[in-house]
Amino acid sequence: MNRVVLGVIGLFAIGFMLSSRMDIQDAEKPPRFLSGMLSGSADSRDYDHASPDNVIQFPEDHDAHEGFRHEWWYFTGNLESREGREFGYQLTFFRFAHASRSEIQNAWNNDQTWMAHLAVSDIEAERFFLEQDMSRQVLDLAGAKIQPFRVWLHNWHATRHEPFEPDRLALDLSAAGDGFSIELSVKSKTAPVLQGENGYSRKDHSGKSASHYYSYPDMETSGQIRIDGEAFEVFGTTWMDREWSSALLQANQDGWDWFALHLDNGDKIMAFQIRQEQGDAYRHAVLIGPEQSKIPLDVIEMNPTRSWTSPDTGVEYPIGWKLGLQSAQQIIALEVDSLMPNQEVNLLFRYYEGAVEVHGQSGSEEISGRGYMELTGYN
Amino acid sequence: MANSSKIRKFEVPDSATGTLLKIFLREQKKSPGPFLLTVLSITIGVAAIIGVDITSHSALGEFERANRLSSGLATHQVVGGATGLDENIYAALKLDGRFSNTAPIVQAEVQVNQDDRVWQLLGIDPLSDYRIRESSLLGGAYREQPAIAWPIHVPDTERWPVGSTVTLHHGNRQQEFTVAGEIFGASGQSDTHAEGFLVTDIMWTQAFLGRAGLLTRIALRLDSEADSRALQILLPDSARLIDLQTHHTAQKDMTRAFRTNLTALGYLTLLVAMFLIYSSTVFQVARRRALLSQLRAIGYTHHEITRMLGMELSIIALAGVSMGIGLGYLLSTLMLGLVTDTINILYFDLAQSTLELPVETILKSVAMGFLGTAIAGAVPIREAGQVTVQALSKRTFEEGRALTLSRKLLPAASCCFGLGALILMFSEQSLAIAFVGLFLLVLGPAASTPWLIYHICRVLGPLADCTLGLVAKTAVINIRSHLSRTGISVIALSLAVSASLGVALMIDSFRYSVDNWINHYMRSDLYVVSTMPDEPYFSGTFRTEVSTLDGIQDTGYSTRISIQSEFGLHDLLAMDVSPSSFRGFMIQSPPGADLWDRFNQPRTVLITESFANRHSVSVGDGIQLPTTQGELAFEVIGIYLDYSSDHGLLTLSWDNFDRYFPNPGPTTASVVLESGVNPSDIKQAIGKLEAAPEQLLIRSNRELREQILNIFDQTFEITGILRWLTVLVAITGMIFALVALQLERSSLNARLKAVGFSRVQLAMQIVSETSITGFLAGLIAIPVGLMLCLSLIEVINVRSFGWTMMTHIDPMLILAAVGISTLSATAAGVYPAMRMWRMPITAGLRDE
Repeated sequence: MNRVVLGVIGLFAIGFMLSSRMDIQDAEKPPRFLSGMLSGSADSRDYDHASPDNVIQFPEDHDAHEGFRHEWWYFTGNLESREGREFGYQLTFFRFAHASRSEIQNAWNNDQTWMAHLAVSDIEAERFFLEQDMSRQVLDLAGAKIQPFRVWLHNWHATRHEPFEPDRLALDLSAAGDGFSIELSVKSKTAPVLQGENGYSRKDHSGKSASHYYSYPDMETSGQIRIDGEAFEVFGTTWMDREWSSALLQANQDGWDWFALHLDNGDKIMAFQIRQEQGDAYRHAVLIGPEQSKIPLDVIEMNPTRSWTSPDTGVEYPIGWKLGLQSAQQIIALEVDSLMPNQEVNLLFRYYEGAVEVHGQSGSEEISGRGYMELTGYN
Repeated sequence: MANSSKIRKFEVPDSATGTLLKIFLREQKKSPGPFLLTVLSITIGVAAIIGVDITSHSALGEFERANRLSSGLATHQVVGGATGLDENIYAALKLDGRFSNTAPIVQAEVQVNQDDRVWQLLGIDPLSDYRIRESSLLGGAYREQPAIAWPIHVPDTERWPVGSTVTLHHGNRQQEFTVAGEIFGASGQSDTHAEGFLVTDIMWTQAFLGRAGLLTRIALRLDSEADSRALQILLPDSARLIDLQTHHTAQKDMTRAFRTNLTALGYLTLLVAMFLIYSSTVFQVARRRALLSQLRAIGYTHHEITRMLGMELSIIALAGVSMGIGLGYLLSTLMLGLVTDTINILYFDLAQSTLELPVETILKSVAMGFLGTAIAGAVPIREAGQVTVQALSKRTFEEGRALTLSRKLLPAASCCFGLGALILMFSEQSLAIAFVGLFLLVLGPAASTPWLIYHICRVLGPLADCTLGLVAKTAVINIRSHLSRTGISVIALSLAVSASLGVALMIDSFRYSVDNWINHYMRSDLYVVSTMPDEPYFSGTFRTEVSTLDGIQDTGYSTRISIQSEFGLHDLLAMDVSPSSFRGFMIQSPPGADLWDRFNQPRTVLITESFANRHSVSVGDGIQLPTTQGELAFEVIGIYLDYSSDHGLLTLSWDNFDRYFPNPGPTTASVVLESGVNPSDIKQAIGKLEAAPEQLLIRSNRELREQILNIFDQTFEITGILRWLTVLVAITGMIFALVALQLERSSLNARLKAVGFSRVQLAMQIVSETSITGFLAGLIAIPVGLMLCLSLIEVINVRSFGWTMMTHIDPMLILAAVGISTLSATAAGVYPAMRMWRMPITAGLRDE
């Protein structure tokens, strides 16, 4: 789940962007709009809402859910070249719905807007590449479809490259920014994991906020990353999240910390906390075993161990964490640390999305791994 | 001398310079008039330069701002045919992926609440527009009022506060928009560059204009030439890629000639002002001759006096330059509107410009002001430093040198003239160098004016004695003997009058040629255009209906489009006319040819004279044009006279246009009526035709012609202002020179009174002297003015605009020039005459 932040932005993010680029780039004026926007909006549209009764179906639910306010197709991955050079990448397609602005018949009068982010972390060189693109859902410039499955924004896309199997997904990912690009094939090794309660994922204690959420946590990845004209053949693992919702954060929630980790022993862990202005954060964690078995975890500890201040924005992010997770069978203690500090996504809205390394113990077993961490709502 | 050294030793002890300065300042304080007038002369000269510079700079700045706002950071744009660009082309470019910095734009001229002012309405897609623009074009209230319709942004928040509703008008379309905020600049401040622009979402613009699916252009930021080539391959035939750098350079080049002409006039004013500074410095020296002699007598060296006069002049220059900058700024507020209007009429639409005062303009004017003052003041100051004690008793020592001076000037004047002619002949295409040549060409004869006047007076003297009596004779003799003082002012007056006459004659010839061209070219009685922005074309049905109307003898149709050929961006005119209308073309080459048959053959083209001159194209040459069948060569079959575009125009037959270019139909219809038919009846009949566009503008031959000539006159309004400024400076110079002269001559005049000259005779003699000088200067200015006019017509205009014109000499203009010269000099004599009138004999004789 959890790319909640990003989702929230929805209509508001677009509105914010429209308001002034100056504002966005001004470190003195962080985008405090987030919690305000999430706490209820002035949009008159009657959106669909996530329901525990909903049954997620494939391939239908790979498609866009235009009745919901926001939705994303979210890919993050840890890759390595043949020479052992390490990379991280993020490719996300966001869809936002908003109230129709007018009754006028015009192609540009469309209530669906798309945004995509592409980031590549060149760990060895400590270089971070970032690009953003946006479009309305007009003139076939952006959209999603399932026959065959494809989600795209301009020439950035995720396109199915093998015949569709209900519980498998194989995609080609392609996107390019200024001086860098990715051309990757991702193929799920297993069936999707339905997060929360059969894909109904709560976001707060009261249950007022929720989304529909499923993941492909373990996608075999290969392909090419190009940086400044140099091509790197890469392979590794991708985590794909799909989520759609119309209500994600409550007024008193101001951001979250989210982790998607691949451990050497084949286990995957997804953990997040949604921080509140006052009171306990809403925390959730799950361990996904080799056979896609879902083991719920209690979050005993989720504390920062070190921080980094962005030279661009002056924002301080906790980029090292200590996680204490507990299941009926075992206690998992993890040290999560960013593979390189500067992985701040300072675009239309600002957050931290970075490749991380993991060390720790699962019961008595020493474990390590790689993964991604997302930090939002820091100012 | 020993005695004076002694005095100096004891009476001017340690601070000789300080004492001298005090003496000078006391002197200036006692009689501040001359001091202030000298300052004024520098002020006017500097003001002329700075005024022109600021005007030119601001107008160009406005052009660049307009481009920056409408194209942003875009390096290229894709435009389509006359109907607009299919928005699917934009989609294709975006989906290709190589051209991510691409944004669609719909633009139109609108009026707000039926105000007269025309605004540019920019319809943008904010989600892609930020890629090609520094400024964020949507902002402010959108964030706070997300429910509001995508807003229109106007900078004029006082009249239309945020949240208010305005009605936009475009043709017969109108729609209400909510004002949502101001356009923000990159700095976050309200963007004054956005003056004249309204911004709204692309969907509103398309809906408002009824242009669903169509764009005005696609703006692109391309990084390399390879990108631009790749993009060109993607584009369909109907779309065209324009390199904005080249495009803007071409547009800037268009105004270059206009601005150079203005600058030249500005420098002419400065030159005349330099003469004025000279005159006033001479005046300063003359009126303090006694003081200077006394100072020399008490032991001050000529170095000290020279240094002090130099210091004094520097103070004057400083004051003059400072005031000149202020006055120039004020002058530019007057001129900027005129220049912007002219650029709007001649070249492209500019919003009302905002004044800019660039540092380099200030530096330039400071340098020019001080340098001009230094050059102009050097001679009289040197002269003053050499004043001896004896000079006190020999007041008219210079006058004996009058002939010597005018003789000395003669070779310099001839060299000036010769050099000017040579430069003008060999300056090739450089307009600035040609202007330098022109200056010298006019300055030469002007500089020889004193010599000519001297010799004319030699002949006139006895003649005046026989016919007009003693007063006239004395006046004529005085002119000869006073040329050392009046000579420079006479040169300035002659220069100003001849320049003014030359420019006036050129403008008159130009107007005459345009008038003549209109007579030839516009042979129809009525001209019809559709004022529907979205439907500017006449349908075939409309044409058929017009042809069936009674009382119409002949009809012709035409359309004009912009194309980008190997010669850059220029207009192409397609004409569907009868042979008789075709004969309205004033074919210059081949002379006397009847080109009708050839005009209708495939791939032939007529070009205008300005096109031929600008691009060195002659009859028989081939021109590559971008047709619907790719690049094709068209043969130039003739060159014709045309004043409608100084950037050049290509003219094609309708068949050729139809075959090789996208042809949505004609945009102008011309109608020849049968004799005796009332034009108003036909106007009404055309308006009522079934296939007629909803809004038609039908103008009679006379209306259109008047409109063209009005535009013409407006174009030259600013030239008139500068001309008069120059003449004004020259007249002021004359007054200085004459007052200085009369001061020196007070004792002589007193003696004349003493020997029986009456006050009337004396005043008459002074006024006659100045008026004869003015008259002679005016006479001499005639040939110089004619020569200037011919040079402007034959050299400058051909280079500036590519136009030739008939030389038309209006005797009234010549008479007026002589009249102005005489009157201004007469007026300049009035003050000294009055002074003399009042001065008692004893006062004049006291110094004897």
